[in-house]
Amino acid sequence: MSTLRVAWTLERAALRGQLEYRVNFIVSTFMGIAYQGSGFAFIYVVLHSFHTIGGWDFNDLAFLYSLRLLAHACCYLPFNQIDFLDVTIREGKFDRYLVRPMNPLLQLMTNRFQINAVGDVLTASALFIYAASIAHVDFSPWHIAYLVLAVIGGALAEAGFVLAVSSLAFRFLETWAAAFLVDNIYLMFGSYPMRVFGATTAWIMTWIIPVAFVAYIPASVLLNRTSGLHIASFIAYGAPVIGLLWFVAGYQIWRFQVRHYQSSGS
Amino acid sequence: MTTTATTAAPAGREPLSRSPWRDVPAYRQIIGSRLRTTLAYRQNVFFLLAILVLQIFILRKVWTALYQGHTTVDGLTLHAMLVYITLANLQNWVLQDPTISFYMYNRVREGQVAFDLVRPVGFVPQMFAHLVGSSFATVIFGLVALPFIFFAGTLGAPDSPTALLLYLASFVLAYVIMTLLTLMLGMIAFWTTEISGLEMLYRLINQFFAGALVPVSLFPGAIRIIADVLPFQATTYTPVALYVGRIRGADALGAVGVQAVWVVVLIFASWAMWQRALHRVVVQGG
Amino acid sequence: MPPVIRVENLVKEFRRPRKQVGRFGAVRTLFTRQFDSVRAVDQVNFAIEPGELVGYIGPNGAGKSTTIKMMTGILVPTSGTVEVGGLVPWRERERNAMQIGVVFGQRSQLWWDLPLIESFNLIAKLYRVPDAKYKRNLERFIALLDMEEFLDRPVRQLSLGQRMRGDLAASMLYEPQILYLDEPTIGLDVVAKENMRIFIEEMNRDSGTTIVLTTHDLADVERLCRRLILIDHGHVLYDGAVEQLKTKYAPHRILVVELEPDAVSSGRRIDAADVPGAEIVEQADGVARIQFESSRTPVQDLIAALNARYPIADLSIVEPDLEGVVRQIYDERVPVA
Repeated sequence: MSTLRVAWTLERAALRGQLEYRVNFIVSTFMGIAYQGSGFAFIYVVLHSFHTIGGWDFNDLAFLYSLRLLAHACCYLPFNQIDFLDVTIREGKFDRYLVRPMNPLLQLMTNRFQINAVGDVLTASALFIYAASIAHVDFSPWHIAYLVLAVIGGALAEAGFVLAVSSLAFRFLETWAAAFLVDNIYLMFGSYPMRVFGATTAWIMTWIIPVAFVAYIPASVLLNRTSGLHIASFIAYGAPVIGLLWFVAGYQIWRFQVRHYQSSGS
Repeated sequence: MTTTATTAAPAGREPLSRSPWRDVPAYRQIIGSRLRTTLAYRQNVFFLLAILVLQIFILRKVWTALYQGHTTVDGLTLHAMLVYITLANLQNWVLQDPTISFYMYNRVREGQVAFDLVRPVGFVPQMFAHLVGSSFATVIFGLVALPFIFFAGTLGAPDSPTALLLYLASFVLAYVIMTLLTLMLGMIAFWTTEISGLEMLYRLINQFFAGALVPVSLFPGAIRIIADVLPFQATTYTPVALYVGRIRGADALGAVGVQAVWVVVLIFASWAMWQRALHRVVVQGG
Repeated sequence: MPPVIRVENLVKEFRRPRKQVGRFGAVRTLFTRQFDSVRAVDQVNFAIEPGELVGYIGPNGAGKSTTIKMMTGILVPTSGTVEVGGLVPWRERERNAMQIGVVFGQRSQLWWDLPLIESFNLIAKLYRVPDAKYKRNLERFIALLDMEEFLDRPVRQLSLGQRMRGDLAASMLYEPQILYLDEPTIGLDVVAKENMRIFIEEMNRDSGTTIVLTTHDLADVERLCRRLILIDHGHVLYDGAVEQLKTKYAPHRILVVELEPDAVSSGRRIDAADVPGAEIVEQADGVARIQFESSRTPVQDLIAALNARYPIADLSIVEPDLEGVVRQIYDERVPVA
């Protein structure tokens, strides 16, 4: 599709734009490592004294955590500009997107390249490979296929929700705080087995904010822990599909908000 | 640490008073305006509060899950541990202000610091005033959040009246330490232009090594050593551990003593940093 | 030939929630059912033929940018029709985008961190311009706008004039039928302004591009536009030739007569009786400003009459300026028949 080709050209240009600044790839990657490692440090320290959290031992939790990181990094890589929608609108840049013969969302996404996003993916991948090696995972071809789909699905689930939340920028002026809150919710709730939070919270984090679909449910499947899940097994196997549905829903909400913007011209 | 230059009085005029009290009206003004600014951006604060409340909630759940099958760990019952976690997070949040360093950083970046340096009220005291004003604001919001925290976490009484007294004394020292650290973080703006990532990093490291997620007493081996070398422990773990009675008696006095040492060390460190920063601005034009 | 832009009974109404005052005002505003209605564009009608260069002016808040937004597909009208090149802009946004160019004086469309030439390459890709056509246009614009020396510089390092030239070129690279220019000369120095005007004129004349020019600088309009649409408070106050606006609204010209120094020192003054059909508006220190209407009093008769009776050192004619005329119209806010 020529649209995608053009989008890819824009993305490459955005990357070149960042290289103009000679941003230190290593520095920003280091920052990413530290940020991602911090939650991990908590798990490491507590499990030194205790040995399981909700029945999950260190290896399981490391696997869960790194899977979440990987899915998040894969979401962040293409969609990191979504959080800047409010600035884009305020500066009048979104109007420029509307005047161009291309999907405004694609234009927003390719507007700027976030160098550390690449570093995040690499770091998360490395961490995941390590965690996968020490976890009790049976890497059959089915499981590997499921893993790949689950990472994509998890990324889409998070992206869809973030899209919906950030499209609030079309109606309200400053939305960075809401975006920050969502980011933190995914970070905090996504790294633990849902059963720890109790039934209500687990339900909210599954069906209202798709946190569980990003990593916990796929990890449960891969670790053969579907019995402990708060949802039916077959839904767990279908996690990637649900992730896709979330993305579609989020995109529809986004489009709805764009139409509203075009009507009210806030 | 004032940076007011020695000005010779213009002919025919009174020499400028160099009493430190002369600047108090200016400080009050800064504190007031910072308070108002924070209140104006209250929806942002509410979101940040939401994050705090959620974090406390999660930690309570996780710690409860951890304590399955144990009654006391590290001398603390589950209840005491939950009180620790709740108070530690609340205190850590109140003491920190994510916007101050950003504010300082922006003023340096946009060159307005030149105005700040030239104004009769010293730059550093100004920043202090900002931090104090910001603290007032965060305390107010913290009080607003208290009912939510009551449900999300566990609030409880101190271990003993002595514990409470020790806590209060320790808290004051903790506040000073945190303020000095924030000041130093802001000063980094004089050297580098890109500190937004650094700020996030600082907050994460701070939160972890301050013991807001896990009491420092539970840190294993090498991590414990690192935590002991850093000042963050003194901002949160020490006071709250005193509150819940984790640290008692002679150990308590020792802990407070360590805090006092940190205060002295950081005063010197920040003074030295300030001199270097000034030098850099004067010699290199910022 | 059908008009390339057709605007009929165009209305844009904005509904804003009425701000609630008092306690929890911000929250109550979110849930309020009270709205304030503002008609930014109220029954606007006009048609623009292909190849016209039209000035679209009005005071701030008049509804100019709202109309332009509806014509470019950014905004959806409350009621009425807009047809641009046979398309309804907001319904076929992407197709419409291919046939229009937009230059916002205040906001560049170029990629900030990349060399200028790369922005051009990207635009060519974005608008799917065939290589041959792109090369041809690029060379033409580089020459016309004299951009050779800063083609390789990142846009953020360019001066305002250079950046504006880049924006103009970028908007024409894919040969759009219609060009919307919003304050293209704002902030530019005299030379840069003139160069910009020459380029705009050339695009209109040689390429036949229909151009809608929005500007506060009426010298732009006087220089470039034959037709002018004046809007205020959402209504069209005038739509027609620039010259007609001036003759209709300010039919007077002024003849400035300067008497010889000897006559001045001896206290000589021009007598009103000697200038029938004209009015002496002001006379002091030997300089008289005489107002007359060209249609009724041929200027040569006036000059001849004066020359016969008075020692004239110098003469000049002051034309009514567009700015003065427009200012009057804004003040009176009466549609000019």
